[in-house]
Order: sequence, then C-alpha cells, then structure tokens
Amino acid sequence: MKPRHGCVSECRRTVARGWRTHPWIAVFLALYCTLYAVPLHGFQTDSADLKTKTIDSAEPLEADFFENRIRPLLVEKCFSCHSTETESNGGLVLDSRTSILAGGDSGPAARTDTPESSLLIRAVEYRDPKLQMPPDGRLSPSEIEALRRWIGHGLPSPDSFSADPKDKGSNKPKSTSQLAVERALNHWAYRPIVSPELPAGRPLSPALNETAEATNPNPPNGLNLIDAWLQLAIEEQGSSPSPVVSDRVWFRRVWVDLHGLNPTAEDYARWDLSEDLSTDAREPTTHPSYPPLSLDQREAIVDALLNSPRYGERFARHWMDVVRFAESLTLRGFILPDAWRFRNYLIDSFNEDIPFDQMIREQIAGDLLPYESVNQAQRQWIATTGLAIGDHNYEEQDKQQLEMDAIDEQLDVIGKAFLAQTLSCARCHDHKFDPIPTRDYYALAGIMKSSVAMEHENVSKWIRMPLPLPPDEAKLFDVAAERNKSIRAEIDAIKKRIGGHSKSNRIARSQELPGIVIDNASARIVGDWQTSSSVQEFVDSDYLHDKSSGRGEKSVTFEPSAIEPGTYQVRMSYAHGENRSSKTIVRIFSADGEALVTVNQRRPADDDGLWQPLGKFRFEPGGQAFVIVSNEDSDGHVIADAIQFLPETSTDTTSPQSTGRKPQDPVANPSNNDAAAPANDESLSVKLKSLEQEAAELASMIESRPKVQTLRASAEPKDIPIHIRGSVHRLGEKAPRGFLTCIDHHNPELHSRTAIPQQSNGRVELGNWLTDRSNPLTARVYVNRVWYWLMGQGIVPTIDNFGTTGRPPSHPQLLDALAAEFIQSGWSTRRLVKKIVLSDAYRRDLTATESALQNDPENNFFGRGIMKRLDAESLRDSMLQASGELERPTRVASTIRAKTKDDYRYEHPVGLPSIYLPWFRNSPPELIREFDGANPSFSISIRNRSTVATQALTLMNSPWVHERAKIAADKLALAGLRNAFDHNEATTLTQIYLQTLGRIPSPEEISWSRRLLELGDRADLIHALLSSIDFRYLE
Amino acid sequence: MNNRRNFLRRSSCGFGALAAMGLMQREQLNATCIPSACFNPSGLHHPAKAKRVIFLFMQGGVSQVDSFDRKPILEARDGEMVPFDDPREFANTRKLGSPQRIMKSPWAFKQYGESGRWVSDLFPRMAEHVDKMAFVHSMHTDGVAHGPATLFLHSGAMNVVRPSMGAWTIYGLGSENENLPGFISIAPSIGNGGSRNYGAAFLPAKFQGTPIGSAGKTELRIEHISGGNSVSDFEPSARWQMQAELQRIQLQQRMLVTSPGHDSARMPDRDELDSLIASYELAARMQVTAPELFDLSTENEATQRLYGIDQKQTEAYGRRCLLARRLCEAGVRYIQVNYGDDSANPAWDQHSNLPKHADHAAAVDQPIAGLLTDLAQRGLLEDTLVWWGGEFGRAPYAEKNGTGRDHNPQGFTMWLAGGGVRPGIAYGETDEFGQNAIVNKVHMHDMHATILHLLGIDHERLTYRYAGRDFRLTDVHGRVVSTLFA
Repeated sequence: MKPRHGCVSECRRTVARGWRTHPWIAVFLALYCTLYAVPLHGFQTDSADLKTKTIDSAEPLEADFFENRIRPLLVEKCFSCHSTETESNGGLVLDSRTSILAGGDSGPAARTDTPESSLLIRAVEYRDPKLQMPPDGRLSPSEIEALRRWIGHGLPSPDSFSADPKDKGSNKPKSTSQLAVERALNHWAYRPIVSPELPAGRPLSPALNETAEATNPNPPNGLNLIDAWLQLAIEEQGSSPSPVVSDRVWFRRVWVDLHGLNPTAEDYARWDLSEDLSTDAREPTTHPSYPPLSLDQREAIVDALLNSPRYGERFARHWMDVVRFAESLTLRGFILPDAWRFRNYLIDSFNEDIPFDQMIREQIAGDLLPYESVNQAQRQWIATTGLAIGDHNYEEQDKQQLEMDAIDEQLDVIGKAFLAQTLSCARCHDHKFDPIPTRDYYALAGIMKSSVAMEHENVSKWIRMPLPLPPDEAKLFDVAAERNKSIRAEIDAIKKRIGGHSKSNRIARSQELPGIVIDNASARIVGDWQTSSSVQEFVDSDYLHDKSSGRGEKSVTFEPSAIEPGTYQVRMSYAHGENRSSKTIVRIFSADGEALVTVNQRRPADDDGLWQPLGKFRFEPGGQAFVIVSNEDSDGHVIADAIQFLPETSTDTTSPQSTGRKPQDPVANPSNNDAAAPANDESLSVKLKSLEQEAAELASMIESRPKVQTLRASAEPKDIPIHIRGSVHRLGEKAPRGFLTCIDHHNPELHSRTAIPQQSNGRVELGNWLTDRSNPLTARVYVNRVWYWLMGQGIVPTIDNFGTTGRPPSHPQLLDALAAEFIQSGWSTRRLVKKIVLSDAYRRDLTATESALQNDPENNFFGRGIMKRLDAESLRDSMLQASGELERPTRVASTIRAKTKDDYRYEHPVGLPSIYLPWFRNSPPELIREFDGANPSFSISIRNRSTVATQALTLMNSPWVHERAKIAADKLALAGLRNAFDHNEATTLTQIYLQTLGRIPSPEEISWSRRLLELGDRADLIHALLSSIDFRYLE
Repeated sequence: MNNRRNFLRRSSCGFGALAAMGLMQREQLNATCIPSACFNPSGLHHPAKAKRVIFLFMQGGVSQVDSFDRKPILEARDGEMVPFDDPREFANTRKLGSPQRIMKSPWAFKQYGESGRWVSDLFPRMAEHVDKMAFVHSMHTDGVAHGPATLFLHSGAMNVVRPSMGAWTIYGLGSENENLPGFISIAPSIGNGGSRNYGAAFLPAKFQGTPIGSAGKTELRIEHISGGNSVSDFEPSARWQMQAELQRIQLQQRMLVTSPGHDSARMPDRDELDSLIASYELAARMQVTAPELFDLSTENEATQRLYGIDQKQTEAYGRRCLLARRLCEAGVRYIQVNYGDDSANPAWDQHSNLPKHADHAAAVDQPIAGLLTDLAQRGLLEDTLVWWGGEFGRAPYAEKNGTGRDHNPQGFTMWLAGGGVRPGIAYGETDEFGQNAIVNKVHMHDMHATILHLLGIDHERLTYRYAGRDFRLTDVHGRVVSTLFA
C-alpha cells in the first residue's frame, strides 16, 4: 500500500509548535559565507525610512550588526519553520525584509514605526501565552534586545537572507499540495444525478418496480431494478451470481434486518416456515417440505415487518448512530434529560414513513419552520435536538474556542450524515483533497453561529426551551409563572419589613443549627483579621472583620471537613451594619466549579436577618467544597462570620425557604428574646411561611413543564470571519453564509434558489439546500446508507466519505437509479427498503461461484451474500427474547431513573429493548459496549466489527448472560411440569433448541447436548446455545 | 465430580485441535494496514530503547513548586502581591497580569543523590531515586480545566474524541503477550474524560485499553475474567471446551449446508468464524493466566513491604504498582497506574488547602520508590520506561488570595526513568517563580513524541486513516526531545 499524503503530514495548524531539528549549523555556515559580501541594502536605500525612527535609533547600528547578531539568530531559531526554504508556518517567512514586513496570517511581523508593537517582539517576549516564539524556549534578553534594535532601525539587511541558491537541493521547500480544482470539481459525487436508462432487453417487473398496488398474482417475468443493474455488471465481468438461499434463511435475514431480532420458532410457524417436525427429530430435514415462497408471499412478509412498530425502532437506531445520539455527556456524566424525545421522534418518523427530505429539514431547522398544529410544532422542535446533543467539553474555559469546537462538531455530523463530506478538514485550511475551501467551512459555520447552542458559565449549559404546548396547557403554566412572580414580590416585601425590625441580639449556636455550619473559629485565615462581637448578630462567640484595611490581601476560607454528596443551599452570616462593605466578594467552590456572589453587608440578610442565601450548589465525594470570603474591591468593613451548608433533601424545617433554625431554638422566635420586636412580626412570619410554601409548589410545577433541548436562533444572524488556521483569536475576512461551492458550481440555480437573506438565520435555507432535488449528494448518500444497512456493504463502500479520498461507487448507474427513484417516490425510506429486501441480490448465498471467486474475490459486485451477525442491540434483545423477558413497550418516555445525577456506573434495567435504554456515554450497557455498539461521541456510519477475546469472556462469564440462561431454563421447567406426560429428553432438547435457535437440533448437536447435560444443567445448555455461532451469525 | 471425570476421559477434541484450526484474530477494518501486523515489533520505525511504558498518573495536578521545582524566591517574597498571567483568567477574559499573592511552599527542600537534585519533603522516598530520573521542569500543555487537560494528556486533544496514547502504542507495536491485553489502565477514574482516557476512539476496538479495578477501590481484576456467577458447578475449563465443540459443530454444519461438496475457500466469510473460535481459545488462556497474575499474595513479605502494602496509607497504590510490575514482566506493553478519584476536583486538586498534598504524597511515595527499586533489581528498568506526572501543575501564588493553588498548564514538572532515558538529568526551566516554562520548553505533544520515539516509533509516521485523513497522536505537532535520551 503506498502511503498517502494525509493532513498531518502536510499541515501546520498553529504557529505555536511544529519546531523541528535540522542540520542548521551547516546551512548557517553556507549562508554566512556566501552572503557576507552582499551590500547591506537597508543601510543604503532605506535611509529616508531610517530618519523617521525615534525609538532605539539614537545609537547607530554597527556595520556588521545584521551579520553578527541577527542572521545567526534567525537561522538558528526561526528558519526551521519560517523560511522559503523550509516551511511557512502561519503563512510567515522571515528570510527577507519584505516578507517580514508583509507578515503572515496574523499580519505584519514587524512595524518599523512602532517596533514595540511588532508581533515579532510580542512573540519573542513571551508575554502573550498564545503567541510565544520560538516554541521551545525564550530567547536570551540580549537576543531580544538585538531584535528590538534591528526593527527600530528599520530592519537593515541584504535583499534576501534566505538560503544560498546553490544549496537548494538539500532543503527543498515543502510543496503545499494544490489540488487540481477542476478535476476535483468533476469528481463523480458532485455531478448531478442522472437517471440512467437500462440497456434494451431487460424488462423490469412492474410488481417489483412496485407501486402501492403491487398485488398482481402472476408477476410477469421481469427483474427488480436492482437485479437488472447488478446482473448487467456481473455478466459484463463474465461471472455468475451465487444461487438464492432457502426461504428460512431469507426469512431470518429480513427479520433481523427489519426488526433487530432473531425470529422465534413461532415466527417461522406463522409464515409456514417451520421445519418438518413430522420426521424423526434426530433426522431433521434442513429444507422444509413446503413449496418455496412466492414473490407475493415474500412481499406480504416484508409488509408485515414494515408495519410493525419494531421496524421504526430498528431504523431509528441506525440513524441514532449517525447523529451520535446520547442522553448524557462524557464530561462529569451530565444527564441530557430531554434527549429521549428525539429518539421517539426518529422512531415515529420511520414508522410513519415521513419523507426523508422532510426529516432532514426538521433536523436542521425544525425550530424555525412554520407549523399548523401544536403537534407539528412539537415534532419539529424536537427534531433539532439532534444538533444539540454533541459530546462537548462545556468546561473549556476559552468560551470562544468552545463555541467554535461545538460548531465544528455540528458541521462534522451534518457533513457526514447528509453529504458524506469531511467538512472538518477545511476548518484550518482549504481541504487538501476535496474542493472545499476554508471559506465554505466558515460560510456554513456562520449559519450555525447564528444560533445559540449554549449559555456560558464556568461549566457552560446547553439550551433547554419550553416545548410548544396546546393553548390551554400552556396557559396553566403561564398563570403559574405570573402568580409565582407576584408571590416573590410579596415575600421580598415582607422580608424587608421583618428584617428592618430585627436589630437586636441574635446569637446562634452552630451545633444547634441545621446542616453544616462552619464558624470563623474553624475557618482558615489569610491576612490580618480582627475578632469582634459588637454587633449581636452572629454564630457562636464572635465574627471577624478586616479592619477595613489591606484591601485585596485578606481572605477567610470556610471548608467542611466532610460533606455528603448532594445539593445544598449555601448561606452566610455577617453581622450587618452601616460601615460594612456593600460589595463583599464571596466565592463558592462546588462540583460545578466556582461561583462568585457579591454580598451587600450593609443590609440585613434575607433569611430572617441572619442568613444570606448564596445559591444552591452541588458537591461530589472528594470534590471541592469550600467558600472564600475576601476583602478585594471592598468599600467598607468586610465581615466573615459563618457559612452554612443546608442539604436540599428535606422540605420542611430545614428547607432553605424556612428560617433554617430548629423549632426548639429560642432564637427562632425573636419575640422570646427581643421584647422590642413589634407584635405583628409573628403574624408576618406565618404569612411568609405560607407564601414561601406556595412559591415552592409553584416553582416545582413550573419546573415540570416539558422542555426540549435545542438551539435558539439568534436575534441578529450574521456572517462570521474566516478563522485563520482554525484559531478563534486570529480572524480574517468575513465569509458570507452559504453552502458548498462545489455543488453550487454544477447547479447555479440551486445556488440562487437557496441563497440566505441577510436577516435570515440560514438553517432553513441549509435544510432546503440539502434536500433540493438538484443537490446530488443528499439522496445518493442516504440511498447508499440504507443499502449498506441491508446488504452489509455500500455501493459506495465509504459510507460517510463521498469525497475524492473515498471509494468510488461499484455501480454508479444503480446508485443514481436508486437515488432518482427515491426522490421520485417522495423520499420514502420504506419503499426503498422493500425494493432492496425483495431483490434477488439480497437473497444470494454466502458461497461464491467459481467464476465470481476468480473475477471478484472481494465481492464488489454483490454476486454473493455477505455474512451478517447480530449487532450489539440485536444480540442483547434476542437473548431477552429467548429468556422470555423482552418487553414490548409502546410510547416510551424517558427511561432514566428519577434522581439520577450523573451517568456513572448506571445500572440498566433488564427487560427493556435496547433502543429504549438510557443511552449513556459513560455507562453503555455491558453487551452494547463489548459487541461494538456505536460510540455515541461520534457520528458513526460503519460500526466496528471486532472478534476479540473480551467478547468471548463476556459471553462465557458475564452474570447478565448467565442470568438470561437461568431464567430461560426456569421457564422451560415450568412449562415442562405442565406437560409432564410428554416430558422426555428428546422433546426437552427440541424445546430448548426451538426456544433459542428457532430450529430443531442436528444429530451431532443432540449428542453434544447429552454430554453437556451430564456435566451441567439445562441452564448451562441454554447458555452455550445463546453464545453459539448459529445464535449470533446469519447464514 | 463423576460427570467431570467422565467428560475428561471421553472428550477427544481439546484446545490443541482448536488451535490447529485457529487463525489470527482478524477484524474488518477500514484501515489498510495495522502497523503491528506489518512491521517488526522490536521497533516500528527504528530500534526501540524501551519495550514498554508504566505511566504513573497523578490526577488533579501536583504542584511543581512544592515538589521538584524549587523556587527560593517564593519563600523570600511570601505574601507579596505581584502581577501574574493567570491562565484561567486569560482563557476566560484574555486579560493578563492580575495581582496575586505569592505563597511559599509549606515543605522544605533538600538535595539528593549524586546529581544533587532538589526534592521537597513531600517525596522523601522517591527522592532516593533522583539519580535514575530525568526531570522535565519545562512541561506545558493545553487545557486549563481538568476535563480538557486530562484528555489532552491522554489523547493529545481536548475537545474532540481521539485515541489515547496507550491505544496508539499497541496499534503501533502490538502486545508482547498474546494471552493478555496490550494496554491496561489500573484503577482509572470515571471522571474527566473517563473511558476516553484509555479509549481507542476511531482505532479498531482491540486497541482499546482494558480497565482493571476503578478509582477508589482496592479490588483489582479484569471484568469477566473470573467464573462469573456460574449457574451450576460446571467447571470453567469444561465449559470452555464444550463451547468450543459446539462452535465447531455448527461451523461444520454451515459448511455442509451452504456449500456441500465445495472447499471452504468458496465461503470467504468463514474466516470470521475461524477468528471467532480463535478468540475463544485466547479468552480461555487469559482466564487461566490472569488470575495467577493478579494474585499478589504470591509475592513475598519483603516485596509487599517494599511497595508499602503492609501500611494502610500506601496499600492501595502499592498494590497497583506491584501489579504494574507483574504486568510488565508478563509483557503488557502500556500500563497506566492511576492515582485519582471520580470527582470533578480529583486527588491532587488543592484549590483551597495545599497542605492536603501531603496526604496524597504519603499515599504514593513509598509505592513508587518501591516500584523503581524493584524494577531496577530485576533488570526491568533497562527496557521499561517509567513516566510520572499529572495533567498540569499548579500556580506559585495563592488562589483567590486563599490557602490553595489553582491549575497551571503553563509550566510544570514530569519525570522519566529507565527505558533509554538519560539518568540524573534535569531538562528545561520555568521562570523565577515557577509559573511559566521558559527554557527548553516541552509541550505535552513533545512528551508524547519523545516517549513514542523511545518505543521505536516515529510519531509523524504512526498514522491511521479515518474520515478521509490521516490522524496521529501528536496531530500536526510534536518534537522529539533527544537530550533526554541516554
């Protein structure tokens, strides 16, 4: 295999690294000797320029300054990445005065008018963490000074100080592979779909070229469109295809492909495909005595399968691989609580055979499309969830970077899923192989950037929006929200009144308070703090103040020695007063990172005058849990008294809305201690309590409003600039929002038809552009995908890469014929599926004919069948089916157990079909993980197909698998008891084989089973069959 | 019992017969060539100096200025407010130069060994091995938060999913022992990237790391390697044998039904079924080998003491280190020994309470020193590369004027020992405060490139084609730091 030029061997994305070692000393000597005599151009002709210098120019440069100080420096430290002879990282070369002044992607490297602001100086000074050169260590101060002087004097130097012309052979410049644009534009995938004509003499069967009424009892002798094209190619090649398989084998193929389950003995029986049991069980006939199925019968079977809800579940799962469906994030195991709606959207859409072009438009811009009913609005909004569930690293601190990484992920999925294009390659530079310039990438990125995908915090948050609801339902929530607002106002007012009255002594004891209370006595103190008790409103014996001095130098850290994981209301007490700081900075460090709260210590605290709520925070085992009070930016005395962590669990006495004091605490009732308190405080307190109760109920009702994870269209959509070398901090010129120019190149009308108006968000247009009938990629890509799901190999084998680095189609006319017909049929997935599974090509035996083995050993022409095996979900579900545990739910909402905080070590339920299990990135179900289930962090078009020892270990030793076998055996025993009269060994064995493999055992298997039953029991026998070849592999 | 004896007497088809049928494990790949199957394993691109790696991962970020990178100025100017370029502030706001309070180290430093390396009182035992180590004081990396930086350390990428370094290594070199996985991560945490830190991403699944145990647990075993909850007293070896027989019977039946009278070459997919049978053989061998390997009780008392297994504080990490040595002897190529936990602020992450560093140091110091001693005395250190460090270092100033230190990806220390590393040297420097690497900087990509080089791999040539382009561990970066080589 000859090595191909990949991205990594060619591109240098950022200038920050990529330093390589070269035999520089030799080069330097050669340079030095040849160029030493060259007149110093700068000294002679740039004298006018020189005169304008003010900085560093007082002292003239020595005559050989450049040769002695600058050239060696450049050669040794810069040229390996920045010279015409080597590389031009960041577009910058430093081997002539002109090129230095012209600069690279970031602009001029040197400014002779203001040397200090030169990028070159900034880079070598190492002041900007993102621009530090040379990358493996700072220059010495004298070297930096030399560069500064040189620039200050206007870069006096020879014309060019690059390598010796004679030396060129030794260090060739790296050629940037300029792609032959014309050739790439004419790549097959970008050319329009041409509906091809079959050669004469190949009649198509109208029944197979089916329309709705494909019920002709006697189909004329003709060929399915698929077989017509495939046979043509096979004949041209001089081969013959393999024969078709038996009906039972076909039946299992289509059953597994459309429902993701092994057919049961009953399924075979229902379609008259049982083995002939009338003969002796030890001499089974492997071929049924029934006549072969007619085409009509096969069609009836396929229709029945397609009409079952299992079909939608199966195809939704395929698509979920492509759009990397998941219900949690790798990062901290955050749960995505609304993602299940998108799963159901896909299942319903495939079951209802929603035209696939409509599904695409909904997935790209469902939130922006017009609708006629609430139902429609709901389904469209939910469809956009797919764009939002990427496995982003929301913790990234550079939020601009995070946003562009998230957009890159969206474009990666859109590119692969719908266009089979590797768009991400064009993020940093023009695509090396395909005609996708960086400008196109940012034209598309601008579309995505015109919607908001997250709100920024330390750990940013994805967008959840209220789901559109029927007006009466929506009204309930709106009323609740209104009421909540007014109650809140009332509560605030009462609190102010109570607070205003309570000036008197309130000293609480920490051990009598609920939750965890850390007093200043056990806090860690930095700087000079003074204890005091002069304002009688504190916890335990005293509080601390900063003497209103040493601003920014003092802090107090409150940290519990241990804290149970969970969510807590965190509150502080601070003995309020007029001379306090009105903006005391308090930082809370929790599992969600750091939060900053500013507290006005001049006003009484909100909760009963003692406690100021700082917010609710989550704490993890072993994670950070502490609060720092600091005196930075203060405008008065900063007080640090105590911090309270109130667990969120109980709702009554310790609820954050209540006073936070135990009822028996004398301080809880101010009137006991404080004779001066007005009498009506008590009744106000009672009122306050009931209001707070109501507010809490309203809040939880409002919280229960159905939500959808989605994008939010920005108020002002706009084009974004090209990011030079992919860097979010180096912006080039604006790229107007648009699509792939290589497609529009062949379809100028498509371009004008789908242009994005300035005020438009652009996603609606993107959906229209993708599904326009003249877009040559979308239909081809999808038809090829469905073909791959059913046939085991694509017509284009690289399912998600139709670019020039992908493989070309084995049957271009067939691909186009299918794509054209697919569009013609109204993008009906179901019809396409039916056409494929009813073809002879789908029924081919796995054994190759002699001629095919000669001419097409790799089976590129589909002359024989490709052996399939149960994928992870089908394996798991078929085991549950064999043990009788598989549930058959319809309309499944979220299956994530209530109160699940993160997805770590999640225990998955047993009987649910795999499609409905919570799809967790950190906790895939055991069998899904071991048997090549799709990694939900990526768009997956082709799953791994591995055969590794850990799979064998799982099947042999996993308690889950053992448990299925045991339960299957128990069920069998119960059934056996009921039919005790015919309970003998032969029927038991037959029973077990029918239940697991759907067939009767062979004589060899019978003798093997008998031996096994001497060693173990029936559960062991079932266990062995569940991991046998015939359970897992199709024929 | 009687049944079992009968079985063993009667069975004619054992593993030998299966082995004869067995082929190499094969996978359907979109890659054209797996280097480990195409090249000489003694070194993929050039002769290897190290045959295997033990990576001692200190999760959360050890403070360099409190351990190996001594900065006397912190003592001299303790408490002074000085402007620093805080990496978190820069990432959030792109602002530089905010005032921070210099905080001295609570631990005293002493000089050790012939090389006279300074080590703080955190690591008195490790300090005895400084003459074996090559310190890199000028590490810098990408990612200010744990999630991104931890993923970067393991996979060379922060926000996109990429194969981990161990996966790349065995993709390049394969395993030395066909009965064991080539890449094992001992007691990994599920936080901060979790399984992605030992994942294969787009590389074929067999290059995925195998986790053993998990953070916070002392139990160390490979999942499913023990007999599981056997439904009866069916002996494991008999179970494997019977299963293999059934597979063989069904394979034969298929060949008869699908191609009666034809040779098996006519059914190319049969290869996969042969691989399946071979995978069962390997699994059966693993089931025999692994439990012995994991049984640390066979080690004598002196060895257990050497690793600190006799002390409560050092027991957990000591067991992991001892297991690492055993795996190393058994030929596992890439072993990661984790010290961390599952929280968002793992282990060494002392934002508010720097003195807690001492607890963590006490837990790992003896075990690591013991591991180095043991590897050296068994002659394993010669071709085993030991790599120590965290995802980043810590700031030389107090976080938010408090009593801890915040993250610092701009300058920190890692060390290497054994496997072709020049012993007793220190490479690179941070600035006078220990904040930024400035002299002979070594980026994490460079560290990756350097370690791959020691393993006989050219990091620029170890590529895998995925989604239309060639990927590699170091992306488009990486520089081999040859000064570190012996």
